[in-house]
Amino acid sequence: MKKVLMISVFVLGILSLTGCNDNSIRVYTIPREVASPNVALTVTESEPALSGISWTVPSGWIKEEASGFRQGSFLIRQSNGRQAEVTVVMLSGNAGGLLANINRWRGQIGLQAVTETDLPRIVTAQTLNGMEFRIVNFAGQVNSVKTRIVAATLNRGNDTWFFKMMGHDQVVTQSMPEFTQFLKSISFNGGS
Amino acid sequence: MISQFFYSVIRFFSSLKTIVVLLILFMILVFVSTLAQVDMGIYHTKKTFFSPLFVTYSVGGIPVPVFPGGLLIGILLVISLIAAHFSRFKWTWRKSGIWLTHMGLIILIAGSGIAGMMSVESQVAIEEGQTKYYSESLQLMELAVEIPGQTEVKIVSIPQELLRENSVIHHDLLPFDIRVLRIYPNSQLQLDVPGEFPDVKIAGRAVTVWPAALTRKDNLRNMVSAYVTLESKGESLGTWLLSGWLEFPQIVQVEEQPYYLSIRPMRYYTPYSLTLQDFTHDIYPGTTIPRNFSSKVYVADTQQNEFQEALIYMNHPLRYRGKTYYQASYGKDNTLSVLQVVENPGWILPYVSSAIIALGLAIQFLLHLGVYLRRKRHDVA
Repeated sequence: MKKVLMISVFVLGILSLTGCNDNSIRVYTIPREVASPNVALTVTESEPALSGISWTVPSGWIKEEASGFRQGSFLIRQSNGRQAEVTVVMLSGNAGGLLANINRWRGQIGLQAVTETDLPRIVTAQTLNGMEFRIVNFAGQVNSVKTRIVAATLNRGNDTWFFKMMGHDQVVTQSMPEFTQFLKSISFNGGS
Repeated sequence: MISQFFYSVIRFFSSLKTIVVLLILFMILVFVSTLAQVDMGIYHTKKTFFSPLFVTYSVGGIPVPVFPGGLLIGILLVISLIAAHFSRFKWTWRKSGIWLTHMGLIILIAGSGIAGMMSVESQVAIEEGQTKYYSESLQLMELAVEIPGQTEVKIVSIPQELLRENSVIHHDLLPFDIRVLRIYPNSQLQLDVPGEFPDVKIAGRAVTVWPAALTRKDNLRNMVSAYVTLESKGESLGTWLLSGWLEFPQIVQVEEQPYYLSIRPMRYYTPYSLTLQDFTHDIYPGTTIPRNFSSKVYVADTQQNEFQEALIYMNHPLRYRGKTYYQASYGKDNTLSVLQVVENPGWILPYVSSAIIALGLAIQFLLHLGVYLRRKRHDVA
């Protein structure tokens, strides 16, 4: 028993040397010119660089300030005061997946959630300018106003792009051709 | 008393029974971990079965040791081999081959232990013409606070293991403490829906975080997100969402100095830069089978005033300042090269041990050959 105890103490002594776990905070110093492009000496309100994407903005769309991961924002306003908004957002990864985002949009306009089995019925795949978009189009109500959402998602590498037009049903419906032209005009780094 | 103690220890560890039991335990560990690797991936299998002293099972949130881990078995095996080596094998010319072979085996196992405990693996994904000063971990994430100055940027890197709910992180370089309100080891983000902290906005839009199940796949990353409050002199500077999903940092200004906070893959900065000059990918003619892919890189080390070009391809890594760069993968129409980076202080030990084992076996073979030839000559005579 004494021998076993002594051997155990010896082994535990050896093993205690393995207890070190380096989870400490580290500090690096790097030259200014190799720092992340997001790091600036002063904070400005300037628009961040677009992630290598370009498009042609349809006439009549009013450009709004884009920031953060909202890569683009446009307002469509009709003379009768009705309007719709077009936003371009890019998120890394699958951003929750198509179903979750569809249900989020449906929830915004008072519609019931759908399930995976409903997706083939409500999602349209459309190839525009060599890129495959998945497009949904549904109408609901916001504060008793008939509101429509048309949204297109595009998977590109590890990123998911969301192109969403949301607003008064009449405005969105009448702007569909421009929205489609907008999607067709999208290119990345000079190419599709 | 002390000499009796050490004698007992040596006798216990040099016993053949001890070594056999340890080997059986190791074989069981390898068998179980091989099956577990199907779902867990290599990294998590290593972390669960081989890196710790014990394999544990969670009982009511408390990890209970259920089997010796690879680290414990490896250490005991090395102790046993050393004890057996010095107590059983006396140095004679006749036994020199066996002596060297066993010594090589001890060095090999010790080397693998050092590699397991101290090696760091990361990756550099670099495009042609791009220059990088860091590599990134495939699994680990960090909360980074970048503090830009006139000519340099200081980066405070906080490992994700320190981000625990209700923990407060303090560092002398920061004018605020970081209080972790919520931590999500894996997560998804949702826009336009206010979450638990409704004042938190990203780019002017409400955002919430869903917890996601931890993934153990080698090719997927757990995206850490956290709600943090910054506190300075007892006052709150606000609550921010930091997430691996966000490609841009959150900016906090304190007394005219901006601080850029982000959660991102853990970075390992180097005092030198790596520029990918050219990536080539050859395939066998008429097929899509890759024949060769290689990266021509330029290493610029202004600290040591060393500048060199290097070609990295399969079985031909670049070794520089303790790091080894292997050609791992590629993408983006052959304009992106992915290099696996390994930092292992014991990298030379497998080569040394293999050489010693080979020498020992060769000596043992030659000694036996000599005996055989002498006996044969004697029989003929």
